[in-house]
Amino acid sequence: MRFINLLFFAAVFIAPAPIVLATLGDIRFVWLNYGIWLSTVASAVLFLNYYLLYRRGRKIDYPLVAETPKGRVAVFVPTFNEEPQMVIDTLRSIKAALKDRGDIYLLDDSTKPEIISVLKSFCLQTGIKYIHREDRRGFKAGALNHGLSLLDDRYELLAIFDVDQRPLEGFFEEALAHFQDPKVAFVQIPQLYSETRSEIAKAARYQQEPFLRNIMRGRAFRSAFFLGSGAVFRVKVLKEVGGFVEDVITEDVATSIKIHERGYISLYVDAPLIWHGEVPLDVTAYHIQQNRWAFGYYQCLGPILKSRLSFSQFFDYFAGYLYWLKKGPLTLFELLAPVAFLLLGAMFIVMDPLLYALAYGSYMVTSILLFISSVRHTNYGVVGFIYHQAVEYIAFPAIFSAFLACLLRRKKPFKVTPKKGWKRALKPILPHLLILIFLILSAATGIYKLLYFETDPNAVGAIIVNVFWALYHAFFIAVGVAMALAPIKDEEPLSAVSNRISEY
Amino acid sequence: MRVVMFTAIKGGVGVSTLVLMLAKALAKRGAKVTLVDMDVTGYISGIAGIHDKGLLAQVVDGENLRGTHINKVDGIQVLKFLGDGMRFFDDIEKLRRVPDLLNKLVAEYSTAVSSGYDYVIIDAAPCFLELVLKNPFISYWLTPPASFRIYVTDDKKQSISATIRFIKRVEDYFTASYPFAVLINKAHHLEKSIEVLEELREDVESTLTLAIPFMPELLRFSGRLDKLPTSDQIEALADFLVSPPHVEIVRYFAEEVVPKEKYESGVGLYTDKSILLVAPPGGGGTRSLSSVLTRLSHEGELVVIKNQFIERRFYSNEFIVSPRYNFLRFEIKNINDIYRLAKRLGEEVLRILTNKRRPVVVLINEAELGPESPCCDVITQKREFWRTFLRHLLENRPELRVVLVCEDTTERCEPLGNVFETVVRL
Repeated sequence: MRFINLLFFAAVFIAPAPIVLATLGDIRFVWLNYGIWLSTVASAVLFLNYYLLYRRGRKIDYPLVAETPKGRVAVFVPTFNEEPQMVIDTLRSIKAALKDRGDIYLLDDSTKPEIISVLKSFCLQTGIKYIHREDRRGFKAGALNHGLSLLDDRYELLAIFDVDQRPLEGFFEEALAHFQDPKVAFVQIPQLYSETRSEIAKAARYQQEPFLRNIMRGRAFRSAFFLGSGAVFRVKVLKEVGGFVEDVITEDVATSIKIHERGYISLYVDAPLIWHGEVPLDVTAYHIQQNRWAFGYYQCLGPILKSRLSFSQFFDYFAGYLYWLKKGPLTLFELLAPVAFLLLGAMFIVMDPLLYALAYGSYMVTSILLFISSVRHTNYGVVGFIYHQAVEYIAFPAIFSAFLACLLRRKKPFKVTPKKGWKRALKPILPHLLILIFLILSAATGIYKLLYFETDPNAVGAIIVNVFWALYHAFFIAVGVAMALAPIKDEEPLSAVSNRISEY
Repeated sequence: MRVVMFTAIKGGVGVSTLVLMLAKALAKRGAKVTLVDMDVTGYISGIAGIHDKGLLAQVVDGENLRGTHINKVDGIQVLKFLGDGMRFFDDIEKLRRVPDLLNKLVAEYSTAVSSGYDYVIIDAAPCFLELVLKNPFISYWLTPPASFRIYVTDDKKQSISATIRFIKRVEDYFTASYPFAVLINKAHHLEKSIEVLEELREDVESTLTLAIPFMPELLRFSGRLDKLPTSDQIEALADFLVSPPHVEIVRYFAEEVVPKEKYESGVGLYTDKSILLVAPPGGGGTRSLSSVLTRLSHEGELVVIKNQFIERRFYSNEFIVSPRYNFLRFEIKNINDIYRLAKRLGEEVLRILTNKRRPVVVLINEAELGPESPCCDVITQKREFWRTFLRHLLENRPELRVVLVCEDTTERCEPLGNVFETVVRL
């Protein structure tokens, strides 16, 4: 625990207080006032962190020529009731990439006997070590720790792949080349989301773009964290931190914190060396993913605050937390605000609308422009920006439910059960439709008032600001709903996928 | 010009006589032949009427060369290279210490054997190859791996098995992809010797085997070349040699940059800063490459840089170019990017050479390391890339030597010829 980290943490939550005092209108809505300003502060802090990381990442480069890597590698592929053919294809890719550098361990927690028998016989034929657990204690982290306990001292390095991530030839040459420095605990290589067969999947990929191209690059050598797959670890360090953290559902972040606070460094090499990343195809799957990630990160707040991380490391991790806070509960405040003002006439903020428009407007324009310029070297662009924004609104209920679950001190997030048929398509976006109706109603009311009633310049300004926000949110939610309802394409032939990879 | 070298592990098996026979047979077929006497006894030189010291001894003693080491007999030129007894061990030692002497020797030898001769036949002393193995600095131009080697033995069991061991050692060192022959001389039972050779041929993978029966008429040989009896087998060997070679053995040189003469002997491999090794397409020439690398490793610390897809290990000191580099070389947008990438690669290479003494950098290979961008003309981008790379490296480490291996698919190597000081085809 470090004083400066705690101070910074507290400052973010205290910073809105003076603004609240200065702009407080109706005392009953003080929570909404605070929420809006906290959201503003959080987004400013997030953007500052993002921009600093972007600048830092541009300067980071890795050597192009390195000694032929030595040291035996163990590869873990944890799986649980996955489609056996997909697992087998992944194992084949790994075997081809690994060459004779080590051994592959399939950590199979599957419960279905037919899957178990298929995988077992494949492993037997190909010399892959098959490990099966009866209990699923600790889930993925538990499986990894179980595997780790079986490794003997011959293995210096440990690579981890999810079943939907296939290394390309060159993966190990690249990853292993960076272990000359004994301080390096792990090397993360990002996955390439190739299976984008729906609009939601496409949006989810765009959403990852600033994170994978800028944030993680900037966090290399400092706080680049394990993404759950596609990383190579130094076994010694993993054993030193006691393996993977089991009591947090995103074991990757929690384990990374433990590694970083011990002074080890991690690298992030942004090269397209993994393919076949499966992105959630529909809203339900997307919700499950976002819900999990958010819940896991919320769980990490304690470890982050208690850790001995340096301030810059803390800043990066805390920004991660703020992101989920912003996209969950704080988004609720933002959505509520125009509705509360326009429909209920709640005077939750009292300030000169012109001042607000000038101050906030210029901040918003600057940040959007800087943001778009920071992703100009990727395939992002304005289209990506719209997809990204829209899909974050789609994620909002899932993230918010994760926040509630964490607040109620549950061990696992609320269960989202995917259903078949139209329910699967429509049910998850019902909240959005509801919000959309309210926002449009609010905007309509506001416009109506503007046209026929209001003449007081301050009131007109306030209505304009709120109508703007209502329409802003409504636009992205509408785009999100359209994405959610768009049909999912059939599986593409391999050639199309490889074309896309070459475009990348 | 083809080089044929006779050698044996011991004396008295008839090497010198066979050399003379072959020279006569080739001359009869209209070829211009020069003999090089590298036997300590100087037998052939004696027959040719050379009584002065050999070329090596004269150069080492600093004498003015008056051509007394060369003579012609029956249209065949004979060059006395060794042949002054055991002093050659000391002479070689002096050559090693005084580079000027070596340069003079190379120049003299090269002019003598290269002026218009079709065949150079070397009579190498027993243990001469041994010496060559130990002194790679002298070996390349004397006995280039592209020469056709003939190992001679008699039909005694011990001689044959010792010869097999010797062949394996030498051919491993040279390049087994070039042809060589095994010859049993003075065979008492021809059929039996042919059987032995048949087995041996599979064992050592020789191109050719020959058995020559014991020839009693040789006992009456007076030393006059025109009285030397002929042998059917040697005639067949001559036919084999004048027919087009099975393996193309060519060297071509960057004539635009450096005078051709300097490289005729391949000595550029040991003196020049930048060398382009042109390998046949389809992964051929890897064995030749290993042998050149082994030779180069005696010159300094060898540092091999290759890309991830080449799994074969050439040397212990190997570095891999990151897969990211592969993306970079396709991402080049303009000629500026080419300079930048070349310098970057140069920087990286310099970094790994920091603690190396007299390094020899070997890059395998051009197709996997050079720029491959649709931005600009292929030849221009490659030339500019390697020119910049070499300049950057040699400006920072003048003692450095750089070897680029280029696999000759779609004639991609030729345009690079004038960027490098010397070009050697494997």
